Parts: sequence; structure tokens; C-alpha cells
Amino acid sequence: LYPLLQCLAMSSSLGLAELSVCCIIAVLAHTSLAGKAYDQLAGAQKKYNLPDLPYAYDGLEPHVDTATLRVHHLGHHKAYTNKMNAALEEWRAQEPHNELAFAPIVEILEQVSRVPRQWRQPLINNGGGYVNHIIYWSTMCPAPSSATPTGSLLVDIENTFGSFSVFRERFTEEAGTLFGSGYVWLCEEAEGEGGGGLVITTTPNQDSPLSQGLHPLLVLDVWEHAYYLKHKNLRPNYVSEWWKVVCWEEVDALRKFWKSLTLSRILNEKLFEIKKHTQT
Amino acid sequence: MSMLSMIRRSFCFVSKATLVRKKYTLPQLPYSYDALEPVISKEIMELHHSKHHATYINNLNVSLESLKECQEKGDISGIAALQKAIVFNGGGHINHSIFWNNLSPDGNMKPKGVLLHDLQEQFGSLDNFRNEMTAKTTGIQGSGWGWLGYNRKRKHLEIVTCANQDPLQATTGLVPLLGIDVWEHAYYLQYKNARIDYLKAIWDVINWEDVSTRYSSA
Repeated sequence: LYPLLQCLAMSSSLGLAELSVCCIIAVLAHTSLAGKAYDQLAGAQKKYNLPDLPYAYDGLEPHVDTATLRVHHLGHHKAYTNKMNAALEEWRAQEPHNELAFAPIVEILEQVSRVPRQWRQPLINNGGGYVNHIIYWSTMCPAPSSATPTGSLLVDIENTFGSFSVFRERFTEEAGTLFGSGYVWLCEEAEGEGGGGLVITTTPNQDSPLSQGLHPLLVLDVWEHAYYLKHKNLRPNYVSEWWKVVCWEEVDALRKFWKSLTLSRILNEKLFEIKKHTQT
Repeated sequence: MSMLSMIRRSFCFVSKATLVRKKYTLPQLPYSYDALEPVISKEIMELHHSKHHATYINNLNVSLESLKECQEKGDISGIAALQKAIVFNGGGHINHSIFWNNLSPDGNMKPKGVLLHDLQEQFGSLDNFRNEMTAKTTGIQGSGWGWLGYNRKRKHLEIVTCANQDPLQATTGLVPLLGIDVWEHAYYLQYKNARIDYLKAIWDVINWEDVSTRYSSA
């Protein structure tokens, strides 16, 4: 499906009808991503829901403990969801003609510098918290089918970092040295239709790499609340347990999600141009 | 040997001695680990003091050792690269050293004298001061500290927050009087995500005498 969409996107000689079909296909492609978690990210919501965890609260035992998953999801993630919804509601009410206020949260985070000052930090914190945790939950699973990535993702990781173990070492080092609260990410640069290079990055607090032109593929939460109940001050122990539940299939699915989102945006733009052209 | 060359020699001796840096060590808590219960649990106090604070001190000592080497080699780039670690760990040591003394098992303490007068005058009432400090400290995103500080230039008290372990005086110029740690390690085992409950409870174990002492010498 993806190569077909690429060809269609590059062709400029399609008529309106053909392009409409392409857009529908692209939208279907990126909303078909497994699980309810990403449903909330597929488009703008009037009120975003807290998605269920993709597994039971004891589903990641013995690697990530039940008590932590409960408080983390029902306490922290829920609070971010509520506060994000409140900020969006207020912004939308005060600026009913600002398109950005009604855009999907992913888009708002991508263009966060355009959010009016009054709501910018609340949305960085709470919108970021909302999206970051969805990605965190979704890229873990109880029984990963593989301890390493496979296919094109593995090839790209090897080409970028030299080998999977070098990638893992670097990622782990970032996790060990990040000071205060934040996240460690594997991201893909969001350039063009094919995507850019892979990169390991960190963000403080709930800042999202979406605001830096990056598409997040894998994330490790190193806020103390992510590990303190079980591991206390020993963050490195949490990190080595986390590697055991990383779900490389989901990382791959998320990578495809961003690719088809990018494509559908390009197709939408082409559709808009054709519409404009046919109206003049 | 002439008087002048003797003086010169002793001066060189003193200069060399100051390059031998002292290593920082973990200060003793003024009370036992369970003394602040039920406000702050023994488990938290023990981890907070013997693990977290101790780690800041170890890492500070390592950073300062590296700093000394860079200075001796004239490695300015190395010196610059060490600054973050010195702020993190030096700040961590400063902040926690103040914090242990800002707290006391004596739950009956209240602000008195000049401190009480100035808090009431500048914030309207003691309750107003407590509410403002609680609200600002609750609102810190991520890890950090809420501070009551003294602004020497403007001669008044201020409530400010600092991120991570940024030390108050070096960062803002304010003299630290009372600090409240809201890194999750300071309360999570007991209060989980209910930071506000920890902040409401901590007022019962504030060492107002210590805060007054800092104020009078600020």
C-alpha cells in the first residue's frame, strides 16, 4: 500500500477524482494502526479520551510492576488528559476562528510555537504528557516476539548506529545521564515523503520531539514516577527491565503511521491545489 | 635568606596548599530517619539522604576533580563542559544540606519575631504566604524546588521556584531561607502522584528557628 501511495503522491497529472480516492486510502492506512491507543491521535477530538492500556495492569510483570502501571496510567496520564482537554476547551472558546486550536493534538505540538502564550506551556506540558504516554504504553508489550527490531527498521538502525548493540548502548547511556524529569527517544526526522534519518534524542519534562520536526518511534519515560515504587533510586535497573518489554513490531507500526500521515498531508495539499485550480 | 625571599616562599607554599581541594562529605541528619513521621516516612528519609544526597556529593567530588585537571591543563573547553554537572551536583548538595535543617521533628514550631512580622506584612497573612508557596511549588513542572528567599537588593521576601537542582542564590541572587523539594523521590513512595498532599503536610515539620536564623543573617 505504501509504495502505491508514494507513486500517487508524486504524480501531478491525476485528476480530482483519482486524488480523492488516494486521500481516502491514505487516511484509512494511517487510522488502521493497531489498537485503540492511536485512535485518539488519528484526528482532532472535541474531548480526548484516556486510551486503555494495550495490556492488563499486571501485563508487564515482572519487568514493569502493577502498582506503577496503575498510578502512572490512572493518576499521571489521566491528569495530563484532563488538563489538556481543559486548555483546549478554553483556547477554542476564546479563539473560535483559530484553525490550529481545532487541529489534532499532534499537529498542535508540531506547531507549538504558534500556540498563543496563554495556552502554550499548558499544552506543551499536558498535550505533550498525553501523547508521550500513549507512545510509551504502545511500544511496550507483555511478550515481545523479538528482542531486536527486524526488517527495514533493523537495517536502518544498523546503518545509522553501526549495530543494534551500539544503538542500545547509546540509548541506555542517555537514559542513565538524563538529569531531572524527561524522556529518551528514538526518532525519525520528519523530512519529505520517505522520512529522514534516525536519531536518539532526549526531551525535558513533557516536551515532545514533534515540536522539533521529529517523528517519535520509541520512547523511555525516565520521570521518577515511572520507576521509583519498584526500583527506588536505581534507574539503571528500570532501564534494563524496560528493554525486555520493548515491542519492536509496534515501533515499526508507529513508523508506518507517521509515514502515511505525512503522505496523506501531501495528498491533501495536492487535492487542495487541484480544487483551487479547477475553480479559477 | 632575606626576609623578602622567606615571605615569597611561604606565600608559594600557601598558594600550593589551596590547590589541594577538600572532598565534600555527606552531612549527618539532625534527627533520626523516622523522626519526621508521619509527614515524611522513614523509608523516604533514608533513601533521600543516604542515596540521593550522597550521590550528588560523590558526583560533585568527581566533577571538581575533573575541573582541577582541566584547569591544570588549561583545557577551557573541558572546563565549560563540566559546568552542567557542577550545577546539578553542587546544587543538589547545597539544596539538600539546607533542606535537612529546614525540617524538624518538633511539629509545634511557628514563625516568630521579625520573620513572622515580615511574612505577614509582605504576604498579607501567614496563611496567604503558605498558600502561595504551596501553589507555586505544586505547579512546578517536572523536578525542582520551591523557595522562600530574601532579595537583598529590594529588601524583601520572595517565593520563587527553581528547576532540577539549580541552586537558588547562584541562579537568582536570592538568599535561600526555606526550600521544599518536589522531585518525586522526595514524596512518591508515600504520597504517589498526590504532590499537593505532601505539600500540605510538610508545613507541620518546618523548622522555623532555622528559617529565622537564615533570615537574620541574610
